[in-house]
Parts: sequence; structure tokens; C-alpha cells
Amino acid sequence: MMNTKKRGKNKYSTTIISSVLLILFFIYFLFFSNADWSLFKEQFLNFEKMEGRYYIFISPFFLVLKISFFSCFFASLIGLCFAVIRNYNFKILDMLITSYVVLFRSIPAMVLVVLVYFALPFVGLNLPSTNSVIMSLSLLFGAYTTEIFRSGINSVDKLQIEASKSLGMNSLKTMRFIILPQAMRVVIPPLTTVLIDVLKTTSIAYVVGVPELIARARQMEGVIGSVTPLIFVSILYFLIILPVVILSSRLEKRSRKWSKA
Amino acid sequence: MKIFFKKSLILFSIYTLLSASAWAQTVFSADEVEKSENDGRLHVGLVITTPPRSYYENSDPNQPLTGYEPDILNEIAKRIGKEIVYYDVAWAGLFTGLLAQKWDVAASNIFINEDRLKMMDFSEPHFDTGMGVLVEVNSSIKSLKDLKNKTLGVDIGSGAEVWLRENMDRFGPYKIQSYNGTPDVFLDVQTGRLDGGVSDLSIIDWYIESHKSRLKRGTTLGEFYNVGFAFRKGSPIIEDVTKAIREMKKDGTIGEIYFKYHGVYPEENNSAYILYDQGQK
Amino acid sequence: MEELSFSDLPRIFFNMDVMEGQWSLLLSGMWVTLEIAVISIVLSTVLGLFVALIRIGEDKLLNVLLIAYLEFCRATPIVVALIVVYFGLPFLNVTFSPFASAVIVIVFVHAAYIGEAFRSGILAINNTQTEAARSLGMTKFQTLRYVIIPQAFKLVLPTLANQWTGIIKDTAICTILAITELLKAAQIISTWKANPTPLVMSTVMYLIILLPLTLTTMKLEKRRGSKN
Repeated sequence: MMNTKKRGKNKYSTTIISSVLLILFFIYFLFFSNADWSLFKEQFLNFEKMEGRYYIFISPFFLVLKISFFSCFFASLIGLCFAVIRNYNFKILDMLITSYVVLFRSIPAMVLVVLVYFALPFVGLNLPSTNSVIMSLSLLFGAYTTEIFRSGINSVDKLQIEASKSLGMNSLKTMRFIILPQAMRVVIPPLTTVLIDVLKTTSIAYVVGVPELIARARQMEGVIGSVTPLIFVSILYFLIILPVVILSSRLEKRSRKWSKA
Repeated sequence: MKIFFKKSLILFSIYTLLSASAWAQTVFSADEVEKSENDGRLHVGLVITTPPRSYYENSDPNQPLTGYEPDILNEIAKRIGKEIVYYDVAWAGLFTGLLAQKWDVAASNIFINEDRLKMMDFSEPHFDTGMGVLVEVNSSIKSLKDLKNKTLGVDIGSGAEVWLRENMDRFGPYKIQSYNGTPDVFLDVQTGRLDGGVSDLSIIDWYIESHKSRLKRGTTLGEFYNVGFAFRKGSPIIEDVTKAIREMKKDGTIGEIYFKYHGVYPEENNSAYILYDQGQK
Repeated sequence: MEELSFSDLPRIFFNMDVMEGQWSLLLSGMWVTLEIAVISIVLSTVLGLFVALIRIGEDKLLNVLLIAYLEFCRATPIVVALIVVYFGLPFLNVTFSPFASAVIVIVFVHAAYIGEAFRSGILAINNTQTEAARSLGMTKFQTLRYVIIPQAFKLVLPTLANQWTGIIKDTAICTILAITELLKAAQIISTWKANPTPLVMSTVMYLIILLPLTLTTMKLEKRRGSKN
């Protein structure tokens, strides 16, 4: 962005310095840090002990996908409905929705999951663990999607709304055919960010006994006496989330280009 | 732009398909149990990260749950003629879930103490257990006196934690660190952050078995505690369970199960044999 | 089976007898949470600013490294990062205290996000301003210090505040380490007394900390929205 000609000299020097530092860092780790590699390997990369146990992670793997898909689906539904309702400016509903958003943006996920699972039975709603996690994640991220959809709807030019009204469309039709299709374009990149967050947050579901990846890893950890299952699970998580991350940053780049154009 | 939208649409539908298959997978697998009211089954919540107390054979959740307590519970269920259902829970949620009727019995090496008796009822103790300190092989902790000025790790809310707090004056001062789960405590003994990890003797011995070159049992705490199953106050099934436990004590079944997981029989004065007067917990 | 009724609610979830003599532990937990939060917020904001400054420079290698760093942080659940740093690194003879590991992981992850926020803020400021400042004889550093960063800071403040809320919420995840922070303190009392009241109380405390912050964030967001 700045004067590129002048920066030309700096460009290489910083590159060289940073790469040399990186290499030195690795050399230090490999040779001079007295690291106990055998212990490290036994505790962390002990895949011999994992042999024949990998299939145990199949159903939790899908369970994580299931929880995050449904949470994301319901969160988007909540967000869409609330954002559309807010667009009509009913005072009381507005206030209710705003307080919902404020409240659920303030509660740590860990706490909400525990409360939904353990406290709701007292008011007559006894959910099994998976559903209670889906419910708490939906509520939690519904607060974010409400904001996202609202900004999407607001991003549509007001002139268009007036134009569609003058064409004789009622407000519902305007919403359905004019506003929402355009809002979607703005909304999709931040929604993928929500998907990433949901995927990451599923990792706390083991607190209420959902048989998901971390829970299974912890059980196995106790039996084989090595942390390798946890490392394996973290790689799995990484593999699930990374494609979504890449997709999301691509979408963001696109949307930035659109907004500039 | 259109092509890009198509691409992301395809990606999204792939994701949807995956999730749908996941839905089918989990709906039809017996991974998760659901509790229905009054279904005549015995619903038990317990922590499944502590072999040999309770664990899955080969850590495979498709296998039946094994371990000292599940074996006893299975036997009890057989004697009172109920089917048994297990819930895998974290320690922190064990009692809350019991009170919230998520399960009707809580069973994870629960020491019976004053505070707990205020909130819950217990069945007759089915055995006594002691605690020990897990240390590195060349540790200086050889007796209780050596605990002074050491950093000790415990599982959150465990009997070990209570013991350490209560005996601070006698053997302290020492620093207590609470962990979410016994495996974390044992791990941190190996990282050197902890001088010792305090936990149930049999759990410690089981762990040392696979880490003989580096870990050993430093000392035992000397005291023994009654372990029982916890119920909500006034729960109608306590009596049946207590009756079954008493029968199992009389015919030595509990002793046999103890032998199966510890390699020795419990001593004569262990609750595994002692019959308590009715009403006394 | 006995019926679960609404009237059980206060006895189980708001049982103040349980809390007797335990408030000090809960409050000290809250103090630890606040300590982690404040230190992490300051450090990650500073680090994030540096990340952003390197990103807007055009060093290719550093840029690639930092993009990889950002993607890595976005794809790693904090739980997993905490476990690796806390339990993994000691085997390489790098042992951090629980408190330090919590701060390091939170700062590492959130600095990536905050850096991204700063970058978009800096890029949003008109290029002509830079040129004007440079033509006035300001050095590059001065331009950044007095012209660009103050404006960028105002621009990204809502995003920053949102990220800070996220940091405070993430301290709850640090309960898996051996730190007695708010949630851990609540869990200790809760399992000790076999009652969930401490958990409810900790929720209330989290809300006391977080509600004002969320409200401010939303106000800031609204203001930014109306300006655009």
C-alpha cells in the first residue's frame, strides 16, 4: 500500500532475519533443549497403543458434525426470524429480542450448556444430553446470527424497498423477494464464521456427558495411560474445521471485493 | 461470481449430506441412552475415566462397561430384577444430574461424608478404600511428613481434596491444586508441576502398572473411607439396593468382585463384609 | 418415582446455606478470572497490533506465515490448544505454570483475530491520508502513530470489544487446567456440597462482568452502523 520502491530493500532483510530466527529456534529445540523426546513420544505420539481402537472415534466424529449442523441450522433460523421481526419495529418484541441478544452474548458457553442440561428439568424440560447441547448452542449463536441477519437486511438499499412498495408489493413479498436474496450475500461469510465457532464449541459438550470426541479420548486416555488419544482427537478437530476456515476466508475476500466494487 | 456461488452451494450440500448421514448414524446407534420416567430400569450416572473403578474394556464404548463398581451394580440390578442403564458423566455434573433426576443412582467411588449426607441419601457402604500419593520414582515423598511444602494435585471435589484440606494443620502447609479428572492429575505428576497426586489406591496402582519405570506409590494416607451409592433424598429404591448389597456381603460376592480387580481379597474389617445396623449409614 | 416440581428449584439452585463460608473461594476465583482476562486483553491487543502492522507491510514470507498463523488459530479449539501447551510442552522441557499457559494460549489465539481486525481497520483508512502525512514530512512511524492507528483504533473498537468479551468467556475454558478460576471454584464447592447453587452463583458473577461489556459493545456497534 505504501511506497513499494523504498520498501524493496527492507523486504528481503526482514525475510532473511525472520527465517534465520525460525531456523535457530528449531535447532535449539532439536539439539540444545535437553528435551525428553522418548517421554514425549510415549505420552503424545504413542500410536502403537492406539492400534485397533481408531474405529471408536467414528461415531463421535459424526456426532460432532451432527451437533454443529443442527445447532447452526437452528441458530440461523432463530437469527432469521428475529431479524425479520426486528425489521418491523414492534416496540415490545424489539425490546425482548434485544435483551435476548444481550443476555446470550454474555453467557459463557460452558456455563449455558451446564445450565440447560441440569437446570431445565426443574421447569419440566428434561432433554437428553445431545439435544441439550444443540439447544444451548442454538440459543447462544442465535444471538450472533440475529445481529448478522439484521445487518444483512439493513445493508439493502432503502430506495429498493420503496420502489418495490410503489410496485404494489406488500411488505412480506418485499422481504421475501427483494430484501432477503440480497441480504444473503452479505450474511453468508459471517455465517460461516459462526459455523466455525459452533464446531469449536462442541468440544465442551463432554461436560454433560455427550459421547463426543473429547469424552472418548479421555476415557481411552485412562485405559492406555497415554495422552495420544487427545492428540489424535485434536488432529481430527483440525481436519473438520480447517476446510470451513478456508471456505470462510475465501468468502470474506470475495465479499470484500464486492463491497469495494 | 455465479460460479463461485455454485461452488459454495455444492460444498454446503456436501456438508449437509455428511451431517444427515451423521444423524442417521447416531440415531440408530445405541450411543446415547434416554431416560423415560418410571420405565422400571435402574439409571446410574458414573464417571468412566478411572480404571479399574469403571471403564470400557479396551476403551471401546460398544463393549459392556466393566470395573469394580459396574460389576457390583450389575449384580444388584440382577438381584432386584431391574435392567440397568449407565450414563457417562463428568465429576462436576454427577450430583447435579442426580438431583435433576437425570439418573437415580450416582456411583463413582463416592465417599460418604457429612456435607453429602445433607443433600443426598446413601445406600449401605459397599466397601472401604484408602488413598495414596502417586509420585515420580526418585521423589522424596516417603511418608506423610514429607508432604510439607509440596504441591499436591487432586481430582475436583474428591475425597482426597477434602482430606488434604482437613489435614493441612497436621501435615502442612502444602499447596493443593484441583483438576478436572484424575488422568490430568497423574499427567501433571509426570510433567513435574506436582510433587504428588493424591487419589484412590487402586486407581493409582492401575496407573503405575503401565508407567513402572517412572512412577511409584509414595505413601498411603492411612485412613479408610466408606464408599456408597448416592440417591436423592427419600428415593424409594434405596431399600432394595441396600438389601441387595447386604445379601452380596453375606455370600461374599463383593469380596469376589474386589478380588477380580485388585488381586487380593479385602480385609475382614472392610465394609465389603461388615453389615451395618439398619438406619446407620 | 418422585415428581420433580418447580418448588424444588430454590432448594436446589438457590440454596444459600450451601454458600455459607464459601463466598471467599468464589470471589478469589473471580479475581483470578479477572486477572487472566485483563492480562490477556492487554497482551493480545498489543500483539494483535504488531501482527496487523506486519501484515500491512508487504513482506511476503512474514505475510504467509501470519496468514498460516491466523488460519491455524481459527481452526483450533482453545480446549485443544490448552491441553497441548499445558500437558504437551513440559515433555519438551518447557514448563509453564497453569496461569501462564492460560494467558499464553488465549493471547496466542486472540491476537490472530485482533490482528485481523486491526488490519481491516488500517486498510479502511484512506490512502490519501498517508500520502498527505508523508508529504508533511512525517516519518513512516509518525504517520502510523499519529494518523493511522488512532483512526483505525476508533474504527475497530466495536470488533475489539467483542473480541475482549470473547477472551473473558474463554477464561471459563481454562477450568480444565489447575487454576482455581471462577468456574473451577464453583465446581469445587458444588461437588463438595453436592449442590449446583455455586454454579448458578458463578453464572451470575459472569453476567455481572460480561453484561456491561456486551451492552457497551452493542452500543458501539450501533454507532458505527449509523455512521456508515
